[in-house]
Amino acid sequence: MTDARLTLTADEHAALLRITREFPGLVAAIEAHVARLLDETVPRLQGLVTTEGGVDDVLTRLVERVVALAAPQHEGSSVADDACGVMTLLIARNAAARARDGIVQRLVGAKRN
Amino acid sequence: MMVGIGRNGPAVLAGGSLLLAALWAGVASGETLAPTNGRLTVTLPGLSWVVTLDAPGFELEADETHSDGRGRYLHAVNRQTDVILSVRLERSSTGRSARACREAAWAALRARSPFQMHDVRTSERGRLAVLEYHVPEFRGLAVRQKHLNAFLGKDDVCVDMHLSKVRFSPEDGRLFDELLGSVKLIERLGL
Repeated sequence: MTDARLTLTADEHAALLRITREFPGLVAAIEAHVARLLDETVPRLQGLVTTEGGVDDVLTRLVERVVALAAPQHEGSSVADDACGVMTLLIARNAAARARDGIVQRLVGAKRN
Repeated sequence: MMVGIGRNGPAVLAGGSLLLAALWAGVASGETLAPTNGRLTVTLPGLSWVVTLDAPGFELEADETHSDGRGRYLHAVNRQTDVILSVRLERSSTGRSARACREAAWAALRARSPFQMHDVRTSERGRLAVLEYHVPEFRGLAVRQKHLNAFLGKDDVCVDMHLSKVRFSPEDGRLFDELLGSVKLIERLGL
């Protein structure tokens, strides 16, 4: 079962659909970045992360990292910055949640086998 | 920076310039053919014409009609090529040309896009008015994303077809060209 930190609520799914509609390409851009980070990170965790809870912790930290990377580099934040941060968080959580089963299979399933 | 998601979605958006329109009812009108045969067909209630394009390999992820019937939005993804396609039909109060549709869309895009757009170009391909740009990165995240909007204008309707692809390379241009080359505006007989 997917960690509650990653799982989107029905309202959040609706918000994600609105983001997809109103900002074409934004979801794909952030999903691509999540995928790239996962490609870099997951192979290094083989044998180190061996539980589903451990995978959830990794994914949660990865989401936080994406949001931090996308944070404005200047002092203070505008409403637009805040909105981008919210959208980035939502998209990254969804991307991580969708990737979760495959990563559990690779890391936890591999240990079981 | 505040980042948090409440149960009612990203409420922070409501007061800002990035206000998300919540006018779409998500009502399927049944007038769109899922691209099972590779051809996407879309129209609006009451129109005497349809727009078709060949989109083999695309999965239709959203098909929403505005509750007043004046707008339509489709979203489809090709997971083999990573090309994302959306088609938007919107009625306006006056007649629109393809160029006028592009100008209006470009003005809206400049005002509220979260992206920094590079290499912005406009061109005409037949009756399509085209707008292209690159997004090398989004707030420090490398994405190398190409965007292309192709506009049609007929009667009081603007048709906006948007294509995008992350990790875009010059060879990927043909994917966009093939889609654009297949766009047809067809009159419906009997209407």
